[in-house]
Amino acid sequence: MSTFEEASRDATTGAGDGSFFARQATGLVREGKAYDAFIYNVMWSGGALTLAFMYLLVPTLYPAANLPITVLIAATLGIGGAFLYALLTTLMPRTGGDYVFVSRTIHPFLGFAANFSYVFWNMVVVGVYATFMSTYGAGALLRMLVGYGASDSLLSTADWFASDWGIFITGVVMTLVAAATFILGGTQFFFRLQQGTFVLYIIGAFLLVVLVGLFTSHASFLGSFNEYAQNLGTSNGAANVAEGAKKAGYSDTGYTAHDTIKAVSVAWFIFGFIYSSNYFAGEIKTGRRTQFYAIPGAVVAVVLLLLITIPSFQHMAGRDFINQLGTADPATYGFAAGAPAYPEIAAIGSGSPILGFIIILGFLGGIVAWLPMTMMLASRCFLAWSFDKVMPEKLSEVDERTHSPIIAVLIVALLYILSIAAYAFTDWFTTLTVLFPETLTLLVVALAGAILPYRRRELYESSARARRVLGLPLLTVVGILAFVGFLIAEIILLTDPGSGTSITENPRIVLISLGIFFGVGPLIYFGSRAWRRSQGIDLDLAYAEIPPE
Amino acid sequence: MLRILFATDFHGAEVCFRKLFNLAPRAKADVIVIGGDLCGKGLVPLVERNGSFSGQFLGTPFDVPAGEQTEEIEKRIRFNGFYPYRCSPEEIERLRSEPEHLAAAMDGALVSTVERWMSLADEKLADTGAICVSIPGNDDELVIDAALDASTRVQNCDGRLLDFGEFQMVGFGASNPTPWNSPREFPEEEIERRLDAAVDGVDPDRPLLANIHVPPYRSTLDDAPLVDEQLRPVIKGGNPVAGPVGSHAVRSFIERYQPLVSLHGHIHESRSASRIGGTLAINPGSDYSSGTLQAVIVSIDLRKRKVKGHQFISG
Repeated sequence: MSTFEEASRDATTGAGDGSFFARQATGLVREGKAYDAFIYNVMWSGGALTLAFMYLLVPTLYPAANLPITVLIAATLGIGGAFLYALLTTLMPRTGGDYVFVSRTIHPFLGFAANFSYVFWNMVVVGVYATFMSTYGAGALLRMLVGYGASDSLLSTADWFASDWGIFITGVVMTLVAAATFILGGTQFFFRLQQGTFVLYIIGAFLLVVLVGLFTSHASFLGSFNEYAQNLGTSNGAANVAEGAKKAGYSDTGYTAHDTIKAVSVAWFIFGFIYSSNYFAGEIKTGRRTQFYAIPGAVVAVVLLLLITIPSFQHMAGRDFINQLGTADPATYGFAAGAPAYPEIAAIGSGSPILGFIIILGFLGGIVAWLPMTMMLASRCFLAWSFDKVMPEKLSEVDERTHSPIIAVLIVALLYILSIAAYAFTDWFTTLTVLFPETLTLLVVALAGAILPYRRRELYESSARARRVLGLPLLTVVGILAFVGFLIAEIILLTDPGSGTSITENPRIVLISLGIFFGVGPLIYFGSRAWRRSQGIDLDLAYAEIPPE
Repeated sequence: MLRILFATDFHGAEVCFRKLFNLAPRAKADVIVIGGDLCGKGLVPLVERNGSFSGQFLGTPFDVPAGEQTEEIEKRIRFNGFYPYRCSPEEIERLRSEPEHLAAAMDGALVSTVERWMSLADEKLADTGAICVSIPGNDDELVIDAALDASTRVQNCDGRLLDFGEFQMVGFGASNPTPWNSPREFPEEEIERRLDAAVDGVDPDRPLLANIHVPPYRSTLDDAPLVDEQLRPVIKGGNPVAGPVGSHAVRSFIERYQPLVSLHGHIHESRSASRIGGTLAINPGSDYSSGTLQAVIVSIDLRKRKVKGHQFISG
């Protein structure tokens, strides 16, 4: 005889106003907590790194940008994508994220090509993280100690972290640590570490910066800066900054719409990554609402963090002075290894080595945690490819004890090291290069979302989100809005000489990006398909749309 | 070469069951294996008032006239693995107040659905030489066993050893204890005893295949999201915390008898394949609520007693 309970409203089955009767059966879990998934997304999006980019790149590339407005424009372009990913993750909660969405909705080759390109550029961007981790994390931490009176001998070590070999060795060491985290400790160990880092990240990289910014006058900041530069070996640091900027041709032109829009290239960094949480958060059906709090909620939170941090930081350091810092030759004001990023500037403004230490450590923690996160993302995509037989089965082997795909992790680590070497020793890629190709993938995902209600009608119509807006399926409307937002961002990236993927300035990188997406990805897919066929395996079966009738 | 097509954990989603039998010819399957958990998870009443039906499903209320629109709602309910149940306002009160009445209504829905599925399987297999084997799973009420046994083409191998000449297959549907107190759960010792009894008389000179609903413990086929006392998924750092929940007895059985292939389900999220000694253990997972069939094709060289390969399917 069946046993029952009258289901409560939040049963993840979706039904339940008291007129649904659930059998006592396995797996009827209730709504998952959105809080943790939300925290994860906030951390994953790289808000602090984006802020660092802003104050390092904006002075030379877009000096007349109004950054809060830039952030709002980027958020407007990206918020549709957040709802799109939340809807898709709720509909298809599977390992492999966009690979699954696109391959099951449009075509497997496009799903693979889009995901392969995304993973490839995620590998490439690791070099940026290594650079910032070494130069603006570890190097800045040591330089700050000297700036607050520690022995000068530390300065050469601090400067070493900004050198090519410093970046490479630091990146390699952190890559090996990240790989060891999974191989020895397992995924659960990593998640615990990540939780701990999150608190440090929010306090150090944002909250303390806001507080220091709010309670420090510009005059007081300049005083601290001079003292700091003095300890680094240069007197009248602030005056030297102004003089150096003038020599470099800088003059304050106020805000312009042109620079404000172009600077979206930098703010878009958040949106190249914030949706990637679907690879992690979507593996079980945590409920109908979880992803909506977690993904769009994280976008709102990160945007708010930036909108609070930017004005308070600029209140302290002064927009003009920040632009001068970015344009003057750093050696003229005593920062031989390079201009300071915002955490070090906030550390100087705080007037306290302890607060400064926490600020830079929070920033560093966020970057360090990003490395294994990306490792997990890539290895999960490898798993999904391997399950579909596009890649060898070895890639999907998971260790019984640690639950880690060890072979996949080791391959990712090797690719990380190659990327770090490329950033450390060559000028092949710029800081923002990856955004254009990553947004290509987002465009394809938006397209998949827009047509999913028509291509996978039964799946969509049977979901809890099968609503209509203006006569169109909700997902189609959201997909179109996301597509338009991504397209505008893509146009900005293609027309901005500072993006590293300008069609006029960097046509080779644009072609390489398109080649990897439309050439290498399909080549691997169709090559694998032919190889599997020779083994008697029909790859198409893995994606077959099986008729129910 | 023997080609096995295996899928499991449909949980009432008829669309997945239908897809399995439509996939079989394309997959060139010699043997179709169903790994249990056929029963859906709940009853969704459609209350009839003045020629229209009302209720709520997937959080959305509906009130539609009898006919096509009602049938469409019923289709959606079945698609998601639930059972639509037409009733009067008075009967809703009876379902609420009389547990026996509710249980009888549910059992009726379960049995009639399994009967319909078995008829469908018989029809689909009529002109083929394919073998079809099934077991119930831990979520399946005992009342469906008669419907499973009544099929002319689907053989129920729960707790039994079936002899197909070139190979033998053992089946077992119950699981080790779960937080949900599902209908077929046994302590580990009992599972071990019953599995051993099932293979009593196995011919060691011919390949043995296993269709055991619950996966072996700590095999990567059994990583399930952990739940708290309120049955909420435990989430740390934005990630569901997973842990091995398979059966020690099943693992021990595989280690001792070394079937060529061991097919499992139960843990929908743990789609994986893993070697335990010479046995290839596979869980294709399940995504029944999205109407997606998750299956696996296993190719076996019976002469060499070797698994040639396997391929996961999702469609």
